[in-house]
Amino acid sequence: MDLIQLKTLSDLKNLKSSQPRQMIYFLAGGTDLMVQYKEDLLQKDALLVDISSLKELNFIKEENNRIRIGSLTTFTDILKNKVIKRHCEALTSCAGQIGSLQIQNRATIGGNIANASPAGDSIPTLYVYRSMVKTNFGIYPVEKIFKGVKKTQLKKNECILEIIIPKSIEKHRSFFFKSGPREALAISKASLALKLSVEKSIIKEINIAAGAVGITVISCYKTGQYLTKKKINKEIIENAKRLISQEISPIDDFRSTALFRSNFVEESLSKALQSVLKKKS
Amino acid sequence: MRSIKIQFTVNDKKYYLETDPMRPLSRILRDDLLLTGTKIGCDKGECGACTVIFNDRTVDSCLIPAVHVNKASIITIEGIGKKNELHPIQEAFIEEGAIQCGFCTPGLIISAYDLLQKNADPSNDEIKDALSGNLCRCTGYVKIIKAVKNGARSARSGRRGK
Ligand SMILES: Cc1cc2nc3c(=O)[nH]c(=O)nc-3n(C[C@H](O)[C@H](O)[C@H](O)COP(=O)(O)OP(=O)(O)OC[C@H]3O[C@@H](n4cnc5c(N)ncnc54)[C@H](O)[C@@H]3O)c2cc1C
Repeated sequence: MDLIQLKTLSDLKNLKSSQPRQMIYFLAGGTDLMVQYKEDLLQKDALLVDISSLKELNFIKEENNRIRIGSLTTFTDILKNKVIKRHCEALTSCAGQIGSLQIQNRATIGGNIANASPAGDSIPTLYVYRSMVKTNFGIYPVEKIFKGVKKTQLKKNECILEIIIPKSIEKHRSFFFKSGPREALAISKASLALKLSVEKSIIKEINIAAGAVGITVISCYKTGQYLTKKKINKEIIENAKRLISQEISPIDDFRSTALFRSNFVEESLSKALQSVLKKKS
Repeated sequence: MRSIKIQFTVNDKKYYLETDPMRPLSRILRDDLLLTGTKIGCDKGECGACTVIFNDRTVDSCLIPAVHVNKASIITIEGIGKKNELHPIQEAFIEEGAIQCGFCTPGLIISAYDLLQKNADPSNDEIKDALSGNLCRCTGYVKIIKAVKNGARSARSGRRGK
């Protein structure tokens, strides 16, 4: 295994030709990679490419109709950022629930996406904001990045540069719920993110995504479609709960059971819908 | 892996080292610098025993590769308080009996010290939050939280160690 350090973004271009067959791991905050390295899970002849000193990738910028987050931005910086708090409250909430302070201080949002865990906490929130991921090769909707558990569509030398979150024109609220074995230092057993705009108890628009209940994060389009233009009440909430449990595909594993996961997702959906209702009346 | 040359400061002292780029900071501190106050527990970022302050933020030193240590400024437990003049947090841990086996203590004190730098008068909830990345498997957290509260109070009233 070898390691090189990139000094500027343009060094990325040269990465293409010089290393034709080798597996490449970009090293950002290292909170996933260091563990994998120690557990001997990385390919032996791989090339580690340290991108941590690329200052160009560490930023949060507000523009007219979008917010841009550099891939090396840590969850601590996301948690503290006022623009994110104003426009993406679910992302703020998620940042504060990642690992521990020590982990938040190092873990980057780009690493969270590229690691492609179905339990990666930032991913469902990025889904519901309909975020885009910009790499050195192109710009994609975040959902298009994932292929399976820890598998992405990214090419070997493809580096995530930034995440682009379109600003909502509508007044909206967004939520992130996570269930772990304890409050801190817990990998999600299940999670749910949603973003919705409501007027006079009627849902104008709603995006829902669930984490750790499938091989990738799952966009719950059918449930969203059902809820759109509906007036929130008990019956609608019950129907939506039933629908969402059919859209996700949770399994039993060492972290939790399918039943628990399904219940958690249903109850979180219900909690969010009810809290919006309370706020209105 | 080809070794790299790094320079960094620990507790205001400069160090130069040639080392493996993926060598964890926790190993560098303990085995190369012989600063054995930093403990290694789980060795994968879950227990917080190896917590140090790294460029003004707490980190699990077991997850920091040497390549990231270059040019960094680090504070370890050895940099907090002096032999004959402990930091108020350290005194409070002793007074409260917030220590049993002591293995988690350096990490906890670092997290508490970092909290007090940012918040001189933390509430119980803020203390719990700040320490939630540090696990203790013997004493339980009641005495620890009380110690941080008391330590913060005496730090405010002027018993300031470093
Ligand atoms: C104790 C502990 C607790 C944790 N708790 C949580 C939690 O609660 N929620 C959660 O979601 N995660 C959690 N994690 C996982 C981890 O911290 C996150 O996934 C983190 O965001 C990864 O970011 P990083 O910068 O550390 O990535 P790294 O470890 O540097 O990289 C992770 C992966 O992404 C690739 N990569 C990194 N940056 C890029 C890029 N810009 N472009 C392309 N590929 C890239 C790397 O090659 C690697 O495969 C935890 C980890 C630990 C050790």
